[in-house]
Amino acid sequence: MSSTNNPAPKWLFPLVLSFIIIILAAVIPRFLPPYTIISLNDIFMYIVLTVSWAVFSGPTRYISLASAAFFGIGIYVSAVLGNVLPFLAAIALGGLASFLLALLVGLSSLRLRGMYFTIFTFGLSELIRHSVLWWEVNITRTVGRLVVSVDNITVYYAMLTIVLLTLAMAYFIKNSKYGLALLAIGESEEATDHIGVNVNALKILAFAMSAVFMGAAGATMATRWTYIDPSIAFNPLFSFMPVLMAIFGGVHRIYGQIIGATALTLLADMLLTKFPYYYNLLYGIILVAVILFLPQGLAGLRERMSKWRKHVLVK
Amino acid sequence: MSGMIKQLRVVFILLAVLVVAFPLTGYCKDKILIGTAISLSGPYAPGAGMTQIPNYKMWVEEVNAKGGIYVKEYGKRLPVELIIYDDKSDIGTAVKLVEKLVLEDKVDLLLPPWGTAMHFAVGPVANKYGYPLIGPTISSEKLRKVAHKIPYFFGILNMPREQGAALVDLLVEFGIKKVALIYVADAYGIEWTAEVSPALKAKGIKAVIEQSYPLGAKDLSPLLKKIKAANVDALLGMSYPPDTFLITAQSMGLKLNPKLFYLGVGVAFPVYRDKFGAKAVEGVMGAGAWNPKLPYPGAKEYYDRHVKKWNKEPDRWGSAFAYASLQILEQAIEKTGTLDRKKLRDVIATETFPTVIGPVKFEGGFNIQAPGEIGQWQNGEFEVVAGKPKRTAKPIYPKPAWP
Repeated sequence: MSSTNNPAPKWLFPLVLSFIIIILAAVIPRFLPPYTIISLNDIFMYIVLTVSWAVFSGPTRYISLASAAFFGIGIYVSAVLGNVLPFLAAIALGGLASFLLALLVGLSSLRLRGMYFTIFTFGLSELIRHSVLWWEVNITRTVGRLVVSVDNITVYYAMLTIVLLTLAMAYFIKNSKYGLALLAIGESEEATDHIGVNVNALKILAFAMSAVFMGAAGATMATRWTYIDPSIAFNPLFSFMPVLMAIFGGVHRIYGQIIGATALTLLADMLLTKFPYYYNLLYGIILVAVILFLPQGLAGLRERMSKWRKHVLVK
Repeated sequence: MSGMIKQLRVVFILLAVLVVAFPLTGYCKDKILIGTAISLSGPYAPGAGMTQIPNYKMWVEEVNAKGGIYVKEYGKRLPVELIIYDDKSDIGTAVKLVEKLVLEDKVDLLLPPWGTAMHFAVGPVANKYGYPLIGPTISSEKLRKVAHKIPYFFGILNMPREQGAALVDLLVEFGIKKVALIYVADAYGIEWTAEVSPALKAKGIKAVIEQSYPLGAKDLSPLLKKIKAANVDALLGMSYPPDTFLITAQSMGLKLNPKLFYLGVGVAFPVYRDKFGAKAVEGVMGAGAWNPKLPYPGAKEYYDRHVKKWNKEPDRWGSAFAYASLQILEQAIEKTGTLDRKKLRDVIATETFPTVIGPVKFEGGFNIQAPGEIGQWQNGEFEVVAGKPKRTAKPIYPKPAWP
């Protein structure tokens, strides 16, 4: 999709860089202690959630709190079909189910704006959680489900693939005319409509695309947890964390989102094991501090530094 | 000055890197490292803080006061060190932290988390790495389906099958014919109802109301009014702690006075008695049971030590089971004379262990010894009233009306 009239270095650098990273990530499990791989799986999960969330909510400024719904649907697909389907098929189906759900939601909700849209998406996650619960209690007569477990290395490669696909999708949408159109929607939806962009179709498609990899990640991660129930699968935390991580790292840069997801996951791990009794307090203070002093997130730090440097040099 | 600080900083960083890179595991074994990921925050934290964590800490202190556990293969007593992580009541975190304990902290043994869902998640992980785990807060028939796949996991608590049967026997004993059966729409309530509902039918007891209510319900008075109107002999509530308290308070307000008043988890907590008053809860029955009057060696002493150390009574159900699971671990180490987890598992799976809940023996991964199934508050003590041979007091029936 990258247009040919771009000057070469602009895409060459990220291409080479990502190639190196891919090679490294693919051979790394041979040399790492097993727990590091488990940590990486968690980081991957949050990168997928955060970058996927930002593909739609970043440029359009429609703050979605439906991530937990898409992630949870993937988890349930894996729990229900995991013992009859091969692992890969369950992941693909998890992504597909999320895609279809997001299409449906998009069709019914994207005419809502601002706060109304946010509340609607949050309500949607809760609605799905309670519907699944109702189904389990009254139809299947059990609440929890056991998920077929898969070894950590396999999960690692699956998550790595999903991360790469997510990043590729995010990169191409951002650098295409569709990405520009989404940005325009965020600036002024009416104007974009008048220019001749099919605003609704574009929004719904971007929303659905952002759900695909959340579902796939859910289907993959469920195999690590071995037991799930509706409140585990549709935990509202999975709706809030991506928003937080994106803001923490910087919503408008893909590398910012990656840094946000990675930094917060590592921070949570470190605080949780070193200060189990002060975890929530410290975590909260750090979040507030970053948002207060770095409104552009960690990615904004670089821009701030260079601005500050210029300022000093001029003096 | 600043140069010195800089140098110091470099030294400090180097030291930190060294410590992280080469944890001092050492080949000279000088302690038994035990780890647990359990809920210190989130919805499971109150349960964990009542039933397990105080017993874990108390046991470690007691063992270390003796100089540790004697391990024959090292020819000496080894003190116990306990690592506690917070799983935030989140399954993903719990699984990950247990793997951290195993792979990074290299603990010798694991202790279980709190609650049925957590056990289902952590049990298979512990099994995968070959760590025996004796779960004191899981009560689920579903466990029977997976038990053969996780041979390192042991269920020590009463299971719905035995407890449900004991409850129905009690109804038969009193000649009760008409009951209302309500249950929380979560694994616990559903599994209990699946056991109790057919058992009632088999004994010719009619459940005129059989209805679930959502987890986290804040008002159950419409349901309770319906039960009052139905004029049943017994209210059977398969409830979790928050709803146990709610149903009790609202039944008092509505003057709902069936002859038998039974609720699930939470009745056996001393705080249940203290909140409503010993007089008010007189005759209330609940899932349990354990009390210090039971004739098992060490039971009374355990109760006294717990009260002395924590300035609060242990709950009359899971607490003693949690403590018993630690006793079993300790005895298994002393019996085998090793920290070899395979050997420990085999001993736990086959031998009988005297504990504060009686002589525990596992068959197919399930404990066949129970200090009792159902309890009833009488004069401020939670007396065992079913199964029948283990009674510490005669059941009070009908239950006195609410004051």
